[in-house]
Formats: sequence, C-alpha cells, structure tokens
Amino acid sequence: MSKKILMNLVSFALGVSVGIVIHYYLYRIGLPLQPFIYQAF
Amino acid sequence: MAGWRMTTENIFANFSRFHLFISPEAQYFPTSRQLMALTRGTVSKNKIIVLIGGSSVMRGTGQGPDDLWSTVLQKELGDKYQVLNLALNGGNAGGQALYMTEALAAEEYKVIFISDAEPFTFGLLPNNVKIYSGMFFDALERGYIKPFPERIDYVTKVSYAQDPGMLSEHQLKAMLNSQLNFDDLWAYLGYQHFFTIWTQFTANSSFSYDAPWKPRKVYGDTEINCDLSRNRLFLKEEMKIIRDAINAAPLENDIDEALSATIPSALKDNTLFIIKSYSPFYLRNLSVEERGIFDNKLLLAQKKYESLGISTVLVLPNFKTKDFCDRNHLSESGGKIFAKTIAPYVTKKARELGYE
Repeated sequence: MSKKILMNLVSFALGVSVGIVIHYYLYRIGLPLQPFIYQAF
Repeated sequence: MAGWRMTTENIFANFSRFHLFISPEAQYFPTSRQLMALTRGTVSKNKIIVLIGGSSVMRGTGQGPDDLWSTVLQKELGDKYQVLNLALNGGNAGGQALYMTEALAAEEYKVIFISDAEPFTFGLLPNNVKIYSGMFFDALERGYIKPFPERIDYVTKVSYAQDPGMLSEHQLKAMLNSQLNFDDLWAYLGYQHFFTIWTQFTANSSFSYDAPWKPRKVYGDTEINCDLSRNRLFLKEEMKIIRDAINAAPLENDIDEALSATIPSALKDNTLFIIKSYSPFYLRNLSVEERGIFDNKLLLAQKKYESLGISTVLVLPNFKTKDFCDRNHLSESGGKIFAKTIAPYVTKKARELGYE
C-alpha cells in the first residue's frame, strides 16, 4: 500500500516537473536568440 | 491558471515608463495582460487618458526618471488627465500603447493616443517592429485589438515578407499562451521573484554577483539624463542619416495602406501624431538648399498624415543644441519644451472629442 502511494507521489512529482519544463520551454522558445540592443548616443 | 491569475493585477509599482530592466532590451517582454493590468490600475474612467506610444523619443530616452517629458506633460495637462507612457525604444505607432487605446476605447474610456510619426521614410506597421511583433499577436489573441481584414491582410503580407516562419510562430505561440498563460506566468515571476535569463545589463549591475537572477522589481529606472558632451561625437554618421532622409523618396501612397491597417477608423479621431525636427547642431551643417528640402519634407509628411485623417503636430519650437542628446533624442531641457509644446494640442484634441 505504502509502495503504491510512494509510486503515485513520484509519478505526480515527475508529471509536475515535466509540465514546468514544457511550460518554461514554451516561454523561452519565443524569446529572441540575439539580444535587442538599442543604440542611442 | 497561475499565469492568468498573476497578471490580473498591476505589478509595476511606481511606473513611469518601460525602463531598461523591464523592457525587451533586457529580455523582459511585458505581456498584454500585464499591460492591461498596468493600464487599468493606473487610469480611471472619469479622467481623460493620454496613452503615449511610438519610439525612444516618446519613451524619453535621454531623460532621467525625474525629468521625463511625459511627467512634464502630465503636469501641464493637470488633474483632469492621466498620462501613461508605454513607448518602447525602436518602436512605432503600431505598438502596445495603441493596443491599450483600442481596448480602452471599446470600453468607452475617454482616451487619446499620442505617437511620433516617421516624416521621411516608411516606418509604420500594425504589429510594430519585428522584435515587438509578438506583442501584437498576444494582444490580438487576448481580444484587446480587433482582427479587421485590412489589419490582418497587411500583417500577414509584411510578416511573411520579413520572415515566413515568424508569422506562424507568433500566431501559434499567442494561441497557446492564451490557453496556458506561460508568458504571463514567467513574466510575472521574472518581475516579482526571480529572472531566468542572463543579460549584459543585469550581469554588469553593481547589485551583486547574482544580479542576473534577481527579480526585475529590484531594479529601478536608473537611466540618467544624457551626457550632452557626447552630442558632437557622431557628426559624420548623423549627417549621413539626415542627408539620406533628405534624398529619400517622400512618403507616398504606401503609407495609406499601412495606416489603415494600423489605426482603426474609429480611433483616428483619438490619435495625435507628432513630427519633430532634429537638433540644430546638425541641421546648421546643411546647405540652404538641403535645409529647404528638409523643412519641406516635414511639412509634406504632416500634410500626408492629415490627409489620412490623423491630426498631426509639427513640433518646431526654438530648440537649441542643449535640448538634444544627439540628432533626434531630447535632453531634459528639450523634453520640457516638447511637453509644453504638445500639451495645448492634447487639450484641443480632448475638446474636439467632447471630453472637456
């Protein structure tokens, strides 16, 4: 029983981790590769 | 869900402009929901709202936070008005201030949109310049701006010509973000808790070795009044820019399509374009003939925008060399003159719209 709970917890933690990585990836993929440098005086 | 909830309220405390650390130059891309929260958190429905968009000149590049021209404009206009400066370096009229104007006007706020307009070359896009283009699709997907046919056709045409992959990438990302709110979440975290991207500005900061990871809220507006002694350093380069402008083809009918795609017909009356001259330090190097062409082009551009239904102010006060940081950007003293020159036109526009 405790092994099943542990497995569920591990599975949940892994799912959350993967979700965060994908979420962050989606944010970063749209950012420009080259920094935008505005040159003024 | 988290990204949605965290961008419901304004997080930008003491906002006066998008200073370096909360701007795309330092990899901080404010989202449309953040902008809307900022705008709603700043303005009230019983005031006349003046939203400033456009380029670095309008953003106040060259002026420190205590001497920002838009703050002077607020003082000149008085309590009946609320001025919000949303301009970005390198931007044009088709930027986030316009998107917010469109959203507020749809909710019957009393709103006036001010932006500088390019007098010499073609410089107007509904989705702003390439670096800010994602903000357009974000605002579109959030429903803050309308996808009327001229706008969508023009953005599709221009974006596809610039970069065929960019259009679909922005569209897909905005669509996904409207459901998953990842940009909103990470922009919120980046401002409030920790930033995840190294930038040269934060790495060189005097805060500490871990400055790149510090939340952007710890960085204030540290831009300072420009060093006027640098004004003369780039004479050759700046004169080339001016002479290229003089020799360029005048604004022609290609601006008609861009303008009708950028400013919705219903907002034309709410819009005030500004055309400003350059520093006299550079202009005095022109021959009489060149100066004549230069001045005439400013007038022609004003007439062109006016003919398209946009009130356009030609700002030609007695600017001195000390009023500029370079050829184009205004210093602290120039910003004050700029604000005082524009203020009467804003009140005139407010009266025309029946706001006063």
